[in-house]
Amino acid sequence: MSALSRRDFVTATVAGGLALAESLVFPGRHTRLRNLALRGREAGVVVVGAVAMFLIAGCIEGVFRQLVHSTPIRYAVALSSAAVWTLYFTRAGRKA
Amino acid sequence: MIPSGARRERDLLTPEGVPLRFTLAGAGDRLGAFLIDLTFVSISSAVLGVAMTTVLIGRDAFDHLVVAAILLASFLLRSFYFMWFEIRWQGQTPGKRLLGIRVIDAAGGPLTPQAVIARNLLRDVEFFLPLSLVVAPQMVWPGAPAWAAELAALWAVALALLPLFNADRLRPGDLVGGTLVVLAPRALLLDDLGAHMVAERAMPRPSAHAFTDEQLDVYGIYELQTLEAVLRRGTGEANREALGAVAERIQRKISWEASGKPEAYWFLRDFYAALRARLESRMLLGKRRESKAPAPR
Repeated sequence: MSALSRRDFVTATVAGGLALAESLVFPGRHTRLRNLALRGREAGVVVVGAVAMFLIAGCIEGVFRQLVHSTPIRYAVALSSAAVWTLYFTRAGRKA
Repeated sequence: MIPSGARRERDLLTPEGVPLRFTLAGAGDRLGAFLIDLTFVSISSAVLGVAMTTVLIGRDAFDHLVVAAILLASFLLRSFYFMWFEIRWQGQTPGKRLLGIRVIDAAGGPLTPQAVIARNLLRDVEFFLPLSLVVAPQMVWPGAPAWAAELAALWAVALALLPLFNADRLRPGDLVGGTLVVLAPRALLLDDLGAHMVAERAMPRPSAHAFTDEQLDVYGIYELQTLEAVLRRGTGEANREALGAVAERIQRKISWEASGKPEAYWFLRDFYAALRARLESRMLLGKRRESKAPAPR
């Protein structure tokens, strides 16, 4: 779980960077600089979210995995964190 | 030719359509503010490190944990110090406040937390990451070749010089966050002339002069402000003559019955206070008198 989520956080960060690049290449209705500023703010929030997730992932990797060796408990933690993420992505946030 | 002061002025239009004029902060101010903040961050990191070490030093098993905790704490400190203060202190960090500059939204809107986060995340890329590659290349990039540190130093210097090469003095963080750094000098208010001024405590005070409403209605706001300018020049020798002339002229204008010749400064001070009280109380009723000239119909 934690290895998988670590990759996801990197993906999120890279997505932020891609959003920045897109804002410069395809500026749309705004000037390039203004568009960079608008998308840069969104990307910044994404990166801070990724930092928070990295922190949790780091604790799981660095502490939990070193201390807990029982396979059932590891599975339980993995499944419950997967459930938390699923609920977060499907339930949390503003309604469209 | 444009005077050098005007080159750094920027007019922003707020979303409400109000034009605001700002003066861009100079490179020296910004560098100074950053160095001050960097000092604060380093000192608090060091204090934190020493505190943690003294607490945990006895237990050999936790040595690596201490290192990890210090690294984590200093990471959090340097990452969120700037964001925290710029969000809480309206675009100012302690360093910026000391040097009188602040961050604003380049489009004239409110400075949002998102903008602050974006502009400070770039600080890592601009400064802290290259710095750690220069200081300890093996920690960031194991097996780094020798030129990596030089490249990182070059990168940091190039990005640090970027503000000097664009008109709005934007660093990469400002570009991505859509912000400007402007001067925010502390406003200095003059003493209130209507209240008792500090310098006057020592001066002998003759009995106050009284004026009727008719006498006060001779003048308006413009004359009040002119009188204030004369009074603010003080009671020194250079101003003595002007005070006398103004007092005489006012006495003639309001047909002041002189029971003895009043001392000019105190007469004017009393007239100023009375006139201001009169004008302000009329303003409460919405009656504004711009000057002694009759209001145009």
